[in-house]
Amino acid sequence: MAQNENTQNTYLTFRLGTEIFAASIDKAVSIIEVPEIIKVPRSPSYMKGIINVRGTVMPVIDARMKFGMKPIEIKKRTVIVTFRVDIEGENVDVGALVDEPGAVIQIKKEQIMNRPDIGSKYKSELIVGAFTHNEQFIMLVDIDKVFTLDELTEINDSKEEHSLEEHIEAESHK
Amino acid sequence: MDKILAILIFATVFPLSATIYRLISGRTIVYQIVIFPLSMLGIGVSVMYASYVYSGMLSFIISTILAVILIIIGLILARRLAIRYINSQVKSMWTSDLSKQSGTEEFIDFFIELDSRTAKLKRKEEDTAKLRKDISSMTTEIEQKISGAVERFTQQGHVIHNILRANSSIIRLLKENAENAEDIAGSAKRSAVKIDVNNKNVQKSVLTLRSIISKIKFIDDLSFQTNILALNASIEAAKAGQNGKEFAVVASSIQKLSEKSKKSAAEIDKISQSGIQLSERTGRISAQIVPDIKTTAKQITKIAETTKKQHQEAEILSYTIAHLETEISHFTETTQDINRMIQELTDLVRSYETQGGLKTSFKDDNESEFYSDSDFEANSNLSNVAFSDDEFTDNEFTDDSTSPKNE
Amino acid sequence: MEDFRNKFKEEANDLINALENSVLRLESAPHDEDLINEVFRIMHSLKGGGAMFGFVKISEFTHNLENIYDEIRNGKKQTNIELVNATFESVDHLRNLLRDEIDASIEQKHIELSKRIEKLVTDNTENQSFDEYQDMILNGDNGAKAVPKAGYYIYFKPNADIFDNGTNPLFLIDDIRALGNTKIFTHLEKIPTFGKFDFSVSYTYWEILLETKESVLEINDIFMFVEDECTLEIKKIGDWDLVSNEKYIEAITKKYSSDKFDYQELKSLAHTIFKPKETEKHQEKKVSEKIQKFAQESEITSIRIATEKIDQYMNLVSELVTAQAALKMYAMKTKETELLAISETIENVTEQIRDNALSISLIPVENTVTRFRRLVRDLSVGVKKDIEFITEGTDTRIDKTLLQIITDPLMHIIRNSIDHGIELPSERVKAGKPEQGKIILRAYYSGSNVHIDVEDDGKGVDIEKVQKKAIERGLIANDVHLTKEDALKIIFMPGFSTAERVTDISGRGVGMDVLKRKIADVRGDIEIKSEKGQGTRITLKLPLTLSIIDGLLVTIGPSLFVVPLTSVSRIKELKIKDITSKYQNILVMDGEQIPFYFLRDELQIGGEYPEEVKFIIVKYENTRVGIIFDTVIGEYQAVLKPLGKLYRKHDIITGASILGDGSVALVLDTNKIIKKFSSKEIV
Repeated sequence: MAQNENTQNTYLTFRLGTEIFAASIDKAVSIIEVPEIIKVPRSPSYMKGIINVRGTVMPVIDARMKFGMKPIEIKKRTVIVTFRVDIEGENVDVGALVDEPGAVIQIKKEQIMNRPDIGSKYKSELIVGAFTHNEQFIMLVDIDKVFTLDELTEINDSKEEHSLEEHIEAESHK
Repeated sequence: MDKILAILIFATVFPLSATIYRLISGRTIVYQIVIFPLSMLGIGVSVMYASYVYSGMLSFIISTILAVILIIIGLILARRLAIRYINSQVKSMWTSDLSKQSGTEEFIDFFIELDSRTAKLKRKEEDTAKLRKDISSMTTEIEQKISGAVERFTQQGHVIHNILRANSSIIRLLKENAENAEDIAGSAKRSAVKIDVNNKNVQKSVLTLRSIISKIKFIDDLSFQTNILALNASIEAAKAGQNGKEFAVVASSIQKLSEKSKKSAAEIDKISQSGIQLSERTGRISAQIVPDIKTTAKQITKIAETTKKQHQEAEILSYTIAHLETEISHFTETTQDINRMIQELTDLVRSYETQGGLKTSFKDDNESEFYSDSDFEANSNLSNVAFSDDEFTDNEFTDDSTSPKNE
Repeated sequence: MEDFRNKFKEEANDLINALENSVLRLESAPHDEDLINEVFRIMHSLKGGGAMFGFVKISEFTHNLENIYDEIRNGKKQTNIELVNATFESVDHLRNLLRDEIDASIEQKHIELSKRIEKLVTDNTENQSFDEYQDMILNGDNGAKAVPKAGYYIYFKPNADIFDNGTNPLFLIDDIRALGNTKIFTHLEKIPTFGKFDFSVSYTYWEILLETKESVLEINDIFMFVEDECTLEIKKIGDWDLVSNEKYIEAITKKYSSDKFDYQELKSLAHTIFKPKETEKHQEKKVSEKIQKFAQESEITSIRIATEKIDQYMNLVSELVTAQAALKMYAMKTKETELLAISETIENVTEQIRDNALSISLIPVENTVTRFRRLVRDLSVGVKKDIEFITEGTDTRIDKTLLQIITDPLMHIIRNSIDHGIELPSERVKAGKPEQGKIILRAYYSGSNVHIDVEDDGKGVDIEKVQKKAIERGLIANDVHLTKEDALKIIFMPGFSTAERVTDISGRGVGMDVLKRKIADVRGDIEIKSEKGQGTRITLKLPLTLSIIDGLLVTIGPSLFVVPLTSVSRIKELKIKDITSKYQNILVMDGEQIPFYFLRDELQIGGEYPEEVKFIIVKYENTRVGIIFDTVIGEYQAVLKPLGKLYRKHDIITGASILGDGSVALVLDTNKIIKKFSSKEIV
């Protein structure tokens, strides 16, 4: 698969707030509807809890909080995208709550721009690039980092959340 | 024995029928003045006859004397009663329906005084000359006063007539009003019922729309799930690489389909929602209207009822006024009679002045009183007719009033 | 093909591990025939497999080693230290060779080692069975060994008129000779004197001893066309290499008569020659070995399963358990007897499957221990210490994931023992101990736990040294005097390593604290006992499996928890108002002061405790602590699912378990709660 898809990469898109993000399809496992989430006491707020996925226990994170957005509200379109991520060299299945699933799209490598200069709006270390697809600006996410940069996020959560929220608010008002 | 029975029947039937007549006509004055002495006479005659039949001549004579005494007593009583009745009638008329007028009081007082003076006249023969003078001056005074009273009465009669007229048109209007109100109330009720039905239909349509929405929600859920399924298929296909290409195409077309159904479901949902909103608004409004109409109808019915009551009251008023009118006309007649009687009295007094002697005058006076009563009866009918014409009564009164003046 | 290669790699790795193990043992018992056979067998298998799957170097390399061990096996050679060392190096080299990329250094090593081994081979010129091995290489794995050779006696006497149809008996003899080694006795006695000689008549007959792999039928085939024109006897003497055996040939030559051999005599002679002697024994052994090997090869007694598949299987089983529980619940609700019966059957089967699945996921400690043998050997040589590594109870089975997890900690402990524990031989002698140090690795069951001891007879923990170090590191105040127990505890504190110099073995900064944490990660515990001058014993207490816990299902508000049953010592029902009023959260029960813990507050679960609460006393070592829950639902065998790495920092909760109705309960680590609690008490 690596040989003939040198020029094209496949991504799975999803919506967080008003922004569209894309993750490499190799990392995505499936999309599931939101089941009952069991909160694990004394865990960071972005860790939504655990769910029962066909007999296995899977941790679920709030992807929006990971990007420094407001905590997600579970609505009709909210789904969990399950990823198989690399955490310390081990493949771990984890779920991420996203506002809406998007589509599986193919993007030519040359279409992908470098990391967009979006300042501190979103956690820029999680974003590795961006592209435009169907006139939509899509940010490319490093899923492994989303799930592994927890210490960083945890610290930032408390410190920056407020200001970030305000920032986003201000942005949306513009 | 059958004779006794006949007498008893005569004796009872006459006053009884008179009483019945009184009850029917309500005209007590006739009973009191005419029928009461007549029935007395009847009783006396029958007692006389009965004693003649059973006890012979002596008892007959005694009983005849007794009967005569009775008749005389009856006549005197009748006259008194008649005067008192008129007094009370006039008094009640003024006090109850019309504003108090000092003239009337005076007039009444005068009558009473007159009465007592006449009685005095009977007893004091020696003062006759003086009395005559007094009477003569008094009669002129009476004439003057009566003519003033008559004038006022006539005016009042005009007013009352006008009131009666106006009242009748009010009654007519009120009646119409009540009828109209009833009509409105009826139609309001009908429209309330209609709106009620309409409201029910709206509710039904809301229900239908709701069920459409719930179905649409189901479709939407389905398309959502299909979308997820298709996405999962796409992920799998993408991972399968070259081999999954065809599958990916299928998956993406499924996804597109589900997207489409999602969209159309959303549209239907939107339309249904707005339909629901519309219907609900309509329903709400008509639901609001119905009680409004109902209260209106209620109010209108109330109005109708009140108007009806008003109408009834107006009718009662009208009746009372009419009654007042008749009473006034009666009064007018009576006053005319009195006027006449006074004239006669004046004549009599004049004749006394020329002839002298009290006894005949007393007898005449009595007779004349008696006759005048019957005349008064007959005249009252005439004046009743005359009263209906303002002009005529006016003329008559003026004539009457002018004639003694001229003398 | 790639698949097969990978399979072979896996298999080869196992074989190499086994080889290493055997060679280690061979070192201490150089004359153990079983071990030599084992080594030989492994070499043989590696060679065959290597040839088959294109690992030419492995095939080449093992060929020579195999030869050597075969010779040793046959008593032609003796094991020597050079050979064992060479074999050890070969083990490492073989591992390298299994890699797909072979770099120059490996190439270099290959050449060097090959030369060394060749030298070892040529040390002994006698190389009788060379041909046999040659065959093996040609035929791949299942070559010559598979079919044994047998000795036959053939009596062939053509009729007098055999020449009439143009048959030349000599050709037939040649055919027989082609089947194998032969000893031919030609009877020319019947040939008449020259005058009576008739050229058209055959007078000659033959007696032949044949040593062949072919069957009787094959021999019969030769005489197919002459069966009616001759007297033929083909009889098997036995599964021996008759012709090769000079003694036998000599013996029967003596028996040679003008008529013919007595078959029975030939047989008994063979028996007398082969059986009572060494060869007889050897032969039999060889046979039994062959049978064993055959059985191993043909009868599949075990199969290799990818660990991933076992994980998957375990997952499926736990799903099955969940589904079964759901079924049971439903069946109970419907009260349909038939359904209940079915559900019960399924429950039984499910339990069996679960136990079975568990036993599959448990593997003997042996697999890992082998690696330590080598470690001990290499390291002790490196530090010039003589250390004997003794293992006990290596067949103790433990969850494979668990075993993987504890391998590194164990390695660390053993390294410590070698580096710091065992003294140099001279020191040992001075201390009145035998020159050779001892490290014992002992695995055994203890209740539902598995304990692994690493014991050495070294110098033990030096309390004073520990104290000095602790002060140096700022772990304790200068004036604190450590007791033995405290000193042993300090060893597990972060940033403590007593190694005076940083060697390549230990003292790399990762101390016992890391170890302790790693063990704790798997619900295990670590314990140390040491006596100065006598040795140290470190015990790892591990759960049998990570995946199943016998627990008590309890609730706090809407949350479900599982408390491991092993740690529950008592359950009491108490009124909440009686507890809240207690001073400093201590309840006196049976004369014992039991501190207790409002878990609801600790876990930040909202709501209030009900009037009546469950007071569960959990124990850990000598500490007993009460934990307060809302209700107790009942006993529950929880299939433990780890929360995953994302929750690895979570201390109180070990994992989650999925209940019959699909809801999820969190499994509490009561030991952690107790420790946390008691540490709080101190502070």
